[in-house]
Amino acid sequence: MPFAQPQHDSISASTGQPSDEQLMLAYAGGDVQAFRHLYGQHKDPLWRFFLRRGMDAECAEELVQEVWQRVITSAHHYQPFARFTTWLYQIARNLLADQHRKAHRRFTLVGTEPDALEEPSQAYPHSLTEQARLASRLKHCLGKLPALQLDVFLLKEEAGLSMEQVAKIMSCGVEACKSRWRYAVASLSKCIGLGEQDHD
Amino acid sequence: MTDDEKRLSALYQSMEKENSPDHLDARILAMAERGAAVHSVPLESKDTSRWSSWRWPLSSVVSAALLVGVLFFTTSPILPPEEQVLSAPPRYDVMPSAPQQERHEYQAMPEGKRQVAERLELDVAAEQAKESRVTSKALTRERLAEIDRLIADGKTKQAGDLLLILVEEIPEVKVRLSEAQQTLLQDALHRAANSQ
Repeated sequence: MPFAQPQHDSISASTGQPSDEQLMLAYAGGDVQAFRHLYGQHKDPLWRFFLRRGMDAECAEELVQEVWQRVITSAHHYQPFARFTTWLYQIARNLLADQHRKAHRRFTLVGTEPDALEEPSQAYPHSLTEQARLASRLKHCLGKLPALQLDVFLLKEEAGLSMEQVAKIMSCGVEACKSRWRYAVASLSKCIGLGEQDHD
Repeated sequence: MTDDEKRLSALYQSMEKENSPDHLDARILAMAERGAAVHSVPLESKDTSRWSSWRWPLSSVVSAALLVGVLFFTTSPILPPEEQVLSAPPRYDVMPSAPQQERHEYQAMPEGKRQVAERLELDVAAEQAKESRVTSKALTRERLAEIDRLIADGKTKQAGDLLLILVEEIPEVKVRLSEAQQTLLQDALHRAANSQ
């Protein structure tokens, strides 16, 4: 199924392509093609956002579908007061919170101290290249991050949002988000063993 | 951005990129197509959001203007403070002192009251004319008495001149002259004709 490549608003503005907000307004006017374009830009990052947040594929499917259903049903009264991406991930994050509440699982939304990540493991096959080994290790370490730090990391790296936009989605101050970002980077670096590599 | 941040970011971007499954994409796009059919609002009408946002304030202003206009034409006129003092309370038994005030008062009166006021005004005007006539007769009588006194004093020339002036001013006074006054008038007219 052909889809447009992921593209952020600032880029689309400079290349003269319609922005996400314009696409959304066009869809609200009945233009299905505009929605296909919009969906193509955001579907995979949103899918990975749920996977990296610890959802299995089945649960991620449900949540992704719910997010887009809300987008579709809200289209007729959509007003571009904020960036579409910000709105999209606000919906995603709200659904995640609901999901955790329903499952009666421990949801560390209010966690402040970073959990201690386990020491770098030597159990990865030596046949993998160093980059692949580190990437695989990073995937594992992401699962160990506290929820708030993980959200900041994913919204910045996966959704490509600025720290201000992340702060808006998470309803917190920019400085608090920056602090969580620094904690996440420190924890992940330690978990992966980036510092040790430098010393070697 | 620190070195660790840069390396971590590069590492994350090099990770395997899982894509959403095709069947999920198909389901969501089908949902979007159904949703588009429901979205009956055309794009052009959404562009009129500026009008939409000003619709209620504008409607309120226009309604207020209409209300003020209706009140202006159906109830008492809006006058400057000094004119309000002159015109309130309305006194229909007195002639308006100025055309402006008269017009405002008449505009404010209902039809029945306006007819009564007009009749009162006519009565007042007739009374004033009558008074004027009475005053004029009294003055004429006084001037004739003065002429009689001059005749009695033997000042016939002076009496004749005054009589001549009186007759020129009020010609109808001739019918009210006594015989002596008519004789004096004939002499005065002769004298005037000879002098010319």
